[in-house]
Amino acid sequence: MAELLIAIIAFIISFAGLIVLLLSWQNKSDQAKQTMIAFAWFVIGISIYLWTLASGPEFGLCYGFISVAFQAWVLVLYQQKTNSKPLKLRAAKVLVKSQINWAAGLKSLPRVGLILVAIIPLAGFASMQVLAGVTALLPGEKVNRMALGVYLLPILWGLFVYWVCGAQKLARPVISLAIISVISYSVNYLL
Amino acid sequence: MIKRFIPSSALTKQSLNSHAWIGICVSALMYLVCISGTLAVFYQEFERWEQPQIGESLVYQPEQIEQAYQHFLTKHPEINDDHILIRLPTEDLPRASISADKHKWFIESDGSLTQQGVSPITKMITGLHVSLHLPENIGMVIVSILGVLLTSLIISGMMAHRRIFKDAFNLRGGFASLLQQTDLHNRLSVWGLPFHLMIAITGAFFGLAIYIAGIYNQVLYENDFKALMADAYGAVPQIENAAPQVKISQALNKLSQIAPDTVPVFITVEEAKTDKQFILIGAQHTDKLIYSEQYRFTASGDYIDAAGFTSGPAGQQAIFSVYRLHFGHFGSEFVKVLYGILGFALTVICVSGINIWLTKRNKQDLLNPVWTAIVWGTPLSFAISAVFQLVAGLPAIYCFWIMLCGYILVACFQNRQKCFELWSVRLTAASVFILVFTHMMLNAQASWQNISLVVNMGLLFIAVLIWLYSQKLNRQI
Repeated sequence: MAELLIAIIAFIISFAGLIVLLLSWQNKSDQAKQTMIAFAWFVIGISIYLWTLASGPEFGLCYGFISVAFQAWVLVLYQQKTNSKPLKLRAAKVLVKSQINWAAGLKSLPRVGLILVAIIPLAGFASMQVLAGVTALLPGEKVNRMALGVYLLPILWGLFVYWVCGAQKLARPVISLAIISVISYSVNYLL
Repeated sequence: MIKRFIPSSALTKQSLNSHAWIGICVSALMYLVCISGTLAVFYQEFERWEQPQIGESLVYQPEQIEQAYQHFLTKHPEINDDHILIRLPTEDLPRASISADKHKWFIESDGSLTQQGVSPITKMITGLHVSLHLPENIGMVIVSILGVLLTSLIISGMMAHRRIFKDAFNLRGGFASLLQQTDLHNRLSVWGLPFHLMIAITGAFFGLAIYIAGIYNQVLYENDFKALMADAYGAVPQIENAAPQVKISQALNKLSQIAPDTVPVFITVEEAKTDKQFILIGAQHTDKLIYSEQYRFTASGDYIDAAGFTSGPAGQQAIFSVYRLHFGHFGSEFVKVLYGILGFALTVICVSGINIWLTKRNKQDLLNPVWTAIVWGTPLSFAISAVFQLVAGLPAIYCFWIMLCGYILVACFQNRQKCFELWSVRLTAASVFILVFTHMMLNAQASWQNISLVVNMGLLFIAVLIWLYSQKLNRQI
């Protein structure tokens, strides 16, 4: 019963925090805005803490984040219905009909191929080797270090992908990733 | 203060470039994984809906389960699987079943096995989500790499979003405008970010963990893979001269004394039919996210030990929490509904992202109708292949791909994009109506009882929403 009560309070508090965030978003004064934003996030943080009290740390964090997402979407819809000026309905812009430029597509294939090689096998290999090497140096139980590496893998790999795909000169991230792979592989397997 | 966190315009441009690149590369596959994942959250409900005539009860007797095991061995003496799985009735799947080597039977109240478990429609959905219907060793890796790329999309999307604070609650009006698509894309993704990141990270786990484990095997365990597996999944008990008769009832009775507050969800007989066989009971601790604690018993039902996941290191618990965290199978059924909505939001983000890119090109070519065919052809193919399966027993997976590829082919010859989109939406709505109607015709009363009623009502609700959307589209043309 007490848990249910805490959960309800957590739900209300996070909604209140989001409302403050919405009000700060509507507020034009810069000084008040900063204070309100800070306060709102503090309140949302408190609500997540309350969720963990009500449902334990594991479920509490899940419920906290999920409820914030839904409450925010409700406020976004409310804001749209009440405050925003709907754009005038216009006939959709008539788009120019054209043919796919297959020649240009074929011409870009080598670059696309290189990007694919860089973001999948190369970035994957580099991130796995780096994470295994770095987490192996950390203190603590082996299984904890392994789990840390497993959970961080998509983040580091994702960062490498972001780097490759955003680069103006593709050679720079590709060469860097190759060097990172060679060094970390050598450290992990050869030293 | 906030300005300090706003990326420079050069970085924003670079991030947008990266975001667009990754998005375009993976859009179709990502969409298939997202939409099937949204449905896969409810796979247990779909399984029950596919076979509505199976009796349901949460009550079972340990002796009944043991008898079912004996019946199973008699029915399938050829089975050579190293473990036989018994699923115990739970709130979301209140049917006991036994399975091994692709044979699955439901357990009746007297322990007999009279009805086989077949769920080709559910398998079509889950198979698409888990491995894109490819062989699992390839498909799971591809899907997990999509998880990595989703992480990358989240990172690049955040970095590209200079007005993340300014636009926090912006959802501008207008219909199908670029602005609305952009706002929808951004609002859904920003506020759902923790969920989407969690889905991406846990999704990447399933197919990729084994590869990084291979490196840890060298770096941390000096090539002792057994030690690594023991650390991650608990050491396998060493059994010699096990009793030939497996006393499941005794093990279940003992469990109720050892861990009275747990809910047993499955039993496996490991190394079945050998002198190393033992019983493993997976029991859920209601205060933990891990799928289950594993209690091990000898074949004669004597308690050996627990694998120790509940009290084990945080890393072990983190590894065992991945499944429930990814599919939302914790808490109540309400959590599943929330996961379904959040999964649908991710699907919308995927679609709106490509819509934005297509609109920004300021031209229309083959890609426009092809994308429409993928977006609307997928649910349409789900529904039609399900109807074919229910009516004629045609293999759902093949039907799905034939339908989807055929629809994409049809799209290639379309000149009127808006009309094609409108008819795609209408066809999708109609196909879902037909699916519910077919289920009703084939299952009569069972179609409107228990979970079938909920699923059918849910499908009808979705069909109505899609139909309303088609009406809105129609007004725009």
